[in-house]
Amino acid sequence: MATHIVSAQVATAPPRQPLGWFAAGFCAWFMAFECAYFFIPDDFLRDVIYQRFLVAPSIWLIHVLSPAELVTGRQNLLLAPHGNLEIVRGCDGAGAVFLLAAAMLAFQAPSFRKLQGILLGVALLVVLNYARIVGLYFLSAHASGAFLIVHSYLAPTFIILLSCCVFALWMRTVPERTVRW
Amino acid sequence: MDAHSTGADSAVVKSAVVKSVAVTSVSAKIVPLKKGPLIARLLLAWLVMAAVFYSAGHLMVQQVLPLLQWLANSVSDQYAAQLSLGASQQGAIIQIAATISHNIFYGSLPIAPKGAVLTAAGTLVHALSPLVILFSLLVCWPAPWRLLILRLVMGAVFGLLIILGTLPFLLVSHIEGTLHAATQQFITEPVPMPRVFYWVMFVEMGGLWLLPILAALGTIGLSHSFYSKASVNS
Repeated sequence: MATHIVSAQVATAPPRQPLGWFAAGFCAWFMAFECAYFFIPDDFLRDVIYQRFLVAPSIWLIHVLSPAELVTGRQNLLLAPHGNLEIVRGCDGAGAVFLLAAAMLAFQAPSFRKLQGILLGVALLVVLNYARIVGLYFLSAHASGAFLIVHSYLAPTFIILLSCCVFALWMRTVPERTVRW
Repeated sequence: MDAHSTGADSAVVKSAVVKSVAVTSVSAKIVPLKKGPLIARLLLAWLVMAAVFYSAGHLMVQQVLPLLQWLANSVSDQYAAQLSLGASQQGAIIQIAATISHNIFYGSLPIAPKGAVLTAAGTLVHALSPLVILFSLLVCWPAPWRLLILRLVMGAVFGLLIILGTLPFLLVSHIEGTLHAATQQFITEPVPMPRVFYWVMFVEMGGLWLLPILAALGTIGLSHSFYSKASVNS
């Protein structure tokens, strides 16, 4: 009976990895991403990354949702009559992406699975980030009293926890007989 | 043969698998969660924890305010920092008032006179957001109620350490930033950044999310180890 239980457990057991090793790898990958991010020049981040990939798509989404909105973009700014929204380091959604990617890279899984998970996870976080930016814009325009609590408290905690959720769900898809890398 | 894990790094033992019915709740390993709808549990946990810390966070911080103030004063002897809680339209805030202890010079340039008071404030909920993440992760991870209580107690200790390691330095960085800017305006070459800036940059650019996740992992691992040992001994 014990053998059967062991066999059954092993056959259906999820992949196992010492928690300490996972945490160390997770930390190391995250710090590597943060260091690389730190070395990206401010003007490149502002004039290329933010302007093309955050501001412009966000403005397009705002106009899709509400064509009457008088919002334009310049560099890392969403410019509007009621006030401007500035996208800066630490408030650009990169942190959540780094955390999710670091967790998947630290977890023992085939490289293909990791790549698949990172691409899908990052795509989801990018969509969420656009929703966050657009939501913050509309809050700043129509409900400015709630802007700060959403921006500094609710949105970041929600997105980080959702990232943890994505990681946990991705873990379930990793087969038990994994290749060690 | 020892049938239970002795620590987070110990290898999985077959007899531990045999004895442990709920393997995921006893072994301190990374295993995928199976029970219940994860997203719904996590969403509910987030809503509850966000409400708890929004409404009662200032009461918790009030208890450790002297300790936060002591830590803020440990950064520099150029000023005496005083912390206090206040209120704004956006909710509770934590304020720092730094009284310059002696005339501050950069070389021969006067920067700030003795007795000048520099102030700054920050929204309290932003500083408490790591606790929302930490406790949301702890409560939504399935566990028997005794293990859950153990986990919450240990999580409170880790949470306190996170607050002590981030909040006072976030506030002090505003004061240091003011002094740094006051110095830089007179000097063409770059003035070295205060050391506290490096820690605050790490915190504000992702560290504030990394720390509670690491704390949750540590709490879950340690609580599983203690719980499994207690289960063997009982």
